[in-house]
Amino acid sequence: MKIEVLLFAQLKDAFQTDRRVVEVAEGRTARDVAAALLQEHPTIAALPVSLAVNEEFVGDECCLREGDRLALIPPVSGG
Amino acid sequence: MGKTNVTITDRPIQKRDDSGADFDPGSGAVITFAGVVRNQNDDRPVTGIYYECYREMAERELRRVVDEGVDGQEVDISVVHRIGEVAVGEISLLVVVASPHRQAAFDVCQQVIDTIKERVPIWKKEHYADESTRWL
Repeated sequence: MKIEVLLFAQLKDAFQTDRRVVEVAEGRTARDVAAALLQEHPTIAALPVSLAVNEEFVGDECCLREGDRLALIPPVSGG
Repeated sequence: MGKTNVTITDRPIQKRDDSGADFDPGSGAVITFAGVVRNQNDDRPVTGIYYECYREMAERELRRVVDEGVDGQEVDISVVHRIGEVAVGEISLLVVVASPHRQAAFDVCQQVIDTIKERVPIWKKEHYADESTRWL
């Protein structure tokens, strides 16, 4: 199945894009997908990234469905 | 009492006038907090900050933060967060809380600001005088 991954801040810079469509095997969790992507770039591999699916924060074990939007949320710094 | 406003904008934020005319007449305390881009950080000269935002989620999360911060207390609150390029001296965050008494206004203001910094998906990238940048 395909899901869309949204990238922000340092992640957007590292991937040089703000989104990527990825093919995900059934049963893979949100954290599985995030970890695999982060490993592509040593500069961000250790960044503590929170996860959101369809605009809601989720836990590591969240299962993904076709068409989900998975957002990788690096440490926030608003204000 | 009980009015809330949450706004994310790419336009400059102006401090509201100080007449108090648009507050509930039961407000005996009005707290205004303005977060402003300062000209240095960690001993480095700063020329501005770029604020990035996950817009759809940030608006929803900001509203939750406000609702949780108010938690049934008798306050009116307005939160405006700017995104995009913000120059030194400009306001990035404006929080105004009105309440019959000051303690509730101070408490809600502090709580909301602290929680915004913890979990609303907004990020800042500082620009320095030597033209380098850094995500914070």
